[in-house]
Parts: sequence; C-alpha cells; structure tokens
Amino acid sequence: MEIKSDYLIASFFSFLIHASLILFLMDFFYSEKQIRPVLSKTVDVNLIFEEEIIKTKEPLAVNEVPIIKNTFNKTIDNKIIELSQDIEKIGSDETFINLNELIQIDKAVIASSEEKEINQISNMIINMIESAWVKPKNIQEGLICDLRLAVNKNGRIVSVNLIKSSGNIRFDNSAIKAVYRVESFNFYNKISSNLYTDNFKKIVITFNPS
Amino acid sequence: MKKILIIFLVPQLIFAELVLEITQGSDDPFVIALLDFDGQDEITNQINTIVNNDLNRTGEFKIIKKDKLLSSPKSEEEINFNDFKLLNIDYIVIGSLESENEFNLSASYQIFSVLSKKKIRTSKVLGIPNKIKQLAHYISDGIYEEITGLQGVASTKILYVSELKENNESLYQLIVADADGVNEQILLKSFEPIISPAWSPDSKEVAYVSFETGIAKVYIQNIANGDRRVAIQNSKQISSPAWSPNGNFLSLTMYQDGNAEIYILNLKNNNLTRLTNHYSIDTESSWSPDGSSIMFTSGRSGSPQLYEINLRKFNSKPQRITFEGNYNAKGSYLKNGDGIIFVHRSSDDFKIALKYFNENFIRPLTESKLDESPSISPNGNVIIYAVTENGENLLSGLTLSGARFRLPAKKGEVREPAWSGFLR
Repeated sequence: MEIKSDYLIASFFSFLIHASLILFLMDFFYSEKQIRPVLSKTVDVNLIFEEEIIKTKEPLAVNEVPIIKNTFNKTIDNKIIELSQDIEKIGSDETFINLNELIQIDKAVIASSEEKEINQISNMIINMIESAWVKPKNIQEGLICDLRLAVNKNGRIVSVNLIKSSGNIRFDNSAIKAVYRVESFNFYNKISSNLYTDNFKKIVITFNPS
Repeated sequence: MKKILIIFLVPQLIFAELVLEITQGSDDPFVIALLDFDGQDEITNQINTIVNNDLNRTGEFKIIKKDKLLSSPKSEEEINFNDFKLLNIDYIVIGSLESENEFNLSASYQIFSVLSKKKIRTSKVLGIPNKIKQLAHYISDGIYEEITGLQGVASTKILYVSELKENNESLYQLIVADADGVNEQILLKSFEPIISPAWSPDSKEVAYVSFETGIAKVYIQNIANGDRRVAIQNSKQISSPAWSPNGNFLSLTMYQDGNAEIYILNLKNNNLTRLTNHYSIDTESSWSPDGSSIMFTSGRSGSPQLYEINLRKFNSKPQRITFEGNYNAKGSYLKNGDGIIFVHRSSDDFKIALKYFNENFIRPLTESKLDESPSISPNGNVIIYAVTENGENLLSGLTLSGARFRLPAKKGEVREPAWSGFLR
C-alpha cells in the first residue's frame, strides 16, 4: 500500500511539473506579452520627427509673439469696452495684414537666401570630396553607397559611418577613403551656427557614379 | 565630367541630414609605408621581400620605399605621424621577429592609420624556420585584410599542368604551388596528357583527367597524402570536371554520344545524369557560387558562346548569356555571383573579359594576344590565366583593381591554372 501511495504522490508531482512546463511553453505565465509590441514600436525613428517639428515651429513662434503683445499693449491703454472693438478693428485692419504679409515675405527672403547658402556650401563639400574620391576600377555600374559624416563646428570630420553599403567592399572603401582624405572642410567657420546645427552638423553623402 | 545632383537639401524633410552625391573619381591605391621587420637579417630579409611582393601583386597598394621615408620608426613610440602625412601615406606597417630559437619563429606586426593616428591592428604569426615563406604570406594577408577588408590570397595555392618536351616525348606534370608561383610540388607525372585540373570546394582534393592508362579517367586526389581514386572513366574523351559548391557533384564534359555534352556525376552514388542534349558541342561547365546554375560553352548558335542552365527549375532550357563578338568561352562565375569571367575574342586576339549580369556590355581585362583558362582567386579580386607569348606558355595574373603581374617562368609550357579556395 505504501508503495502505491508513494507512486501516486510521485505521479502527482510529475503531473504538476509537466503541466507547468507545458503551460510555460504556451506562454501561460508570460504576462508582459502585450507590452512587447509597444516597446518595439517606440524604438522607431519617431525621435527625429519630433526634433524636426520643434525646429521648424520655433522661428514662427518667435516672429508672432511680439506682434500679438504689441496689439494687446495698445488695447490695454484704451477702455475695456473699446477693447473688443479694437481687436475687431485690428483683426480687419489693413496694416496688420500688411505686417503679416511683410513677415511672410521676409521669411521667404530669409529662406531663399538660406537655401542659396546651403546650396553653395553643399557644392563646396561635394567638390572637396569628389576631388579626393578615387573610383575603383572594374566595378559594376549602378553601385551606390551612403556615408554619414559628423562634422564639428570647425569643419573637422569627426566620424564616418557607412549607413548603406553598395555590396561591393572596394567601392565602399573608396568612398570612406575619400572622406578620410578630406579630413576637414576649411569653410565651415563661415557657416552661421543655426545653419550648422540645422544642416551641416550631420550630413549624408551618397556616392553614385553615373 | 558630369555635374553632381544634390538630393534632400531641404531641411524640413523627414531626415534632417543633408545628403550629397558623389559621381566622379579616378584610380589610385592605398599608400603604405612598409618598414623592415626587425630581427635576424637572413630571415627578416626574406620576409620583407615576400611581404613586399605579395602586397604589390594585389594591386591595391603603393609601397613607399624605405629611403623615401622621412623617418623609419621601429616601435609605436617612435612614430611621428606627421612625417608620414607629409608623404600622403595612409598606413604604416611595423613588424618584428620575436622568438628566434631553432624550431620556432614568431613574427608580430602592427598597422597604424596615419589619418586617424591610431594603431588599427596588432597581430602575431607563429611558424617554423623552414616555412618562412608561409609565415610571410600570412603576414601579407593580414595586412591586406586589415586595410582593404577583403580576405588575402597570398597564402592560397594554384594548380596547373606543365608539359616538358624531351626528345620526342612529352612529360606532363600536375603541379601545385603557392599563389606567387614558388614552392612547387608535383602531384603527378605522366607521359600521357593530364588535363583540366580542378579544386574541390574545401581545397583538400583535386580532380583532373589523366590518360595515363590509355583511356580517359577522372581522378580525385587528396593533396595532403596523395591518395587518389577514379571517379569515372570512359573509352571516349572526358574533360573539364568542375565541382559543385557543396562538393557532392562533379560536372563533366563527355563525348560518349559522339559529340561533347555536359553530364553531372553524383559523387555519393556515382549516378551520371545528362544535362545538355544538342548536336553541337557543349563543354567547359562551371557552377554558380550558390550551386543553382551551371554555365557552359556551347556552339549551338553557330559560334562558341556562354550559356547558363538553371538547375533548380524543372525542365529549364539553357539561356544564352554572352552576345558580344563571335567567341566567348571558358566562363567562370565571380565569387559573389554578380558576373562572369571568360575568354573573349575581339578581332584576332583572345582576351580575358569580365561581364556583370546587370550590364549589357563586356569589359576586356587583358591586352595580350592569346590568353586562356582564367581562374578567379577565392576573394574574387584576382584572376590568373595562361598566356602565350613568343610561342611560350606562361602564367599571368591581374587584379580587378588594375594591377598585372606574371608568375616566375617555368621550364616547358604551363597551362590551365586553377586557384584554390582559402586554406586558412
């Protein structure tokens, strides 16, 4: 009889162990399962988006805020009753619209001159890397590789990363070698700090011979 | 000189980074200062010479001679990077021979990047005194690998057939040598022809066709111990055995139907399967690196052209892959499967040519008159071939990066070189 009860206990424990094993394999104890996809989603490139949005909004805010303040300052000096009228007036006022237009024109001018400058600097960067680049012989057509450069304020190339390989190591090497050869961009000290942080701190260079 | 396109200039785009595109460039090598190895002169001299030759042969380097250097440091502390920067040197190699007793040698070397002013590699190679050549080849491969990112081939081997004419008889020899052509070992001697040597994928065995018994026999021979076995034999001619990448099959050209056809021999059970069936000649098969297709030379269009047959597709028909000129033969695949190397005739010259599958033109690589039997190095960057000059056969090499070299001249004629895989 004793042997039998031992047998029963043993088989009971065995059942427990096996059942828990099977449950474990079926992810029964895994409560964090739902968190995982969320985690993997947030690792996305979204961070870059956010940064960008803030950056593009900043100049707008700076330009608008003082104007609103001014109008309010004016209205506060007047009577409270006139305030609403004033606001209506100002809202439909031609001068205000003109101001707005002016600001926009101003911004456009700034943007276009900025764009011009970006173009100029980009061309200088391209020219420097191009003159340092030695395209390897006997590589197939259609190879393209991307490098990401981090450049400090003085124009020195701090790091070079291959972010997209062409699949041909000789081609990738030649691109990296070209950038190493350039070492630093001597014209970087002429770039304004805004332009530098927005555009030229990190640049991606595509090597695409055609 | 084309203008460059700039893409992604507007900062408001999703990626904040500026992307610039480069479209031009010319050709030039890595410039390295190869300082003499420190240690016993008789040994270090050998090492210096071999490493220098090995690196030169790759075509990827320009080695600055010792007398042109501003300083010749012997250790890391003595390096003044500006001395090398002034000469536009990219890398410095310093080495020394360390334990120098009777039975053991150990060489260590360090590679420094002049641009980043940093040590990028320290390596130690162990060897025995009568294998100084091997030791030096290992060093060359290490340097090559560190700087180019490609695995070096100085320590690999080549296989070829030599024919010596004595009196009225020809002596055929199957020879295996180091990649630089020295250190030859004879695998087989025969007064009957030996043709089509080929390496097994693991480079431990070679297959060849020998007529020593009077009929064509394909032998598979172990390099290390010389043991060999007959894979297949036939009273009619057999030629160009080629190993499948997994080592289980041998593709062959057999003439038992009256004209040359490609067959596949299963080395496990000796089953023979016929692959091609055409009244014209089909020969010189070679396997794609993934083993999915076989390329061969066929005369079915009236002139020798290269065809490819897909082995993974049921009932697949050979597809013609060369259309340039009226002679394209003896093709072999590049190691990454991007293209092929073959013999191409333009006017009356036979040249080695390269064709990438995504391009619709060929790139002739040689300028000599009679080039044949190209074989590609395991890193895919060097091609060795037989060339006939002034009635003499010799072995020549070229790298895709543009260097050319010639292996030491041999007595008699040499032909059908075959490059081994990596042996390390």
